[in-house]
Amino acid sequence: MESKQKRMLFIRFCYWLAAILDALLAGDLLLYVLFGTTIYLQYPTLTPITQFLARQVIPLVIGWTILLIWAVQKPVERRIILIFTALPLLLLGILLDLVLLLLGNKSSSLGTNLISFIIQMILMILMLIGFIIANQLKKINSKWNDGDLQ
Amino acid sequence: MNSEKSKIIFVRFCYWLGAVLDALMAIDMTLYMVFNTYVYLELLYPSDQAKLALRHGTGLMIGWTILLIWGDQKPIERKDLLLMTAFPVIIMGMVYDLLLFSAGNTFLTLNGLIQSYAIRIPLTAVFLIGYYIAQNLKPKHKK
Repeated sequence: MESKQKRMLFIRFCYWLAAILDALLAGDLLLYVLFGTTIYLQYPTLTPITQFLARQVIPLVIGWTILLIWAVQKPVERRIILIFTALPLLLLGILLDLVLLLLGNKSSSLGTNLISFIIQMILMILMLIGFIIANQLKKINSKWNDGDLQ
Repeated sequence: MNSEKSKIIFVRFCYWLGAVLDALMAIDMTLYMVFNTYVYLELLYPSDQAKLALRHGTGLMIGWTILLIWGDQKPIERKDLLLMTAFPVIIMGMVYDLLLFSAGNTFLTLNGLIQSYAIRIPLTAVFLIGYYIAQNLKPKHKK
């Protein structure tokens, strides 16, 4: 398989990995608010207030899943979506987890935060590598196009 | 001002309207999580459980704000973002609110539901109109 094809496969993998994890998160959040249970999320016990606040979260998680699937249709042109997923989303998720832990949030624990931190960190690095590779492909494509014009 | 120019201005207004409202929401969510206060959101009393439930939403809200600002750089080519903002983000929020109210959630009153709909229905309409207009414009009209 050509190197360019391999790179493209990796970029697509980054989008799909994030989209699948987002979809799983959305599914688990829906299970949580509808039935008060979760499969892998360690969420607090279901209360009317957490159910109420999930209204701000679930539509956005589903929206972001669709956004990633939209971006994978043109993986190189829409590579900025990988950066948006890595930086505001994952990095901020890590920072907010840390802030909640430092503020002594009783529903937050070091054990769950550590697992969440490792998963989010690996994902963030993958997204950033995906973006860098997509950027390189874009430059190669631009050079080819310039060459064709000359 | 010609008609195409005013259409572009309207499409760009849609992106900025969404971005500004999302940014205000993100600021309020952060204020609530970190400082136990808020400016305009009725986020109720500080609760550890609520803060944990909101941590995913805050990052996504900031992400969506940046996304809409990015969309505004090429408003016609990236018109799909307007559609995605209308559905699933806003429309799904409305459906969820309705389910919550029907289930008798004590934090969502009838007034709260009406207020939420009074804001979200015009917003959805604005985004869908923006998308429709952008679809009928040629991509050569860049910022």
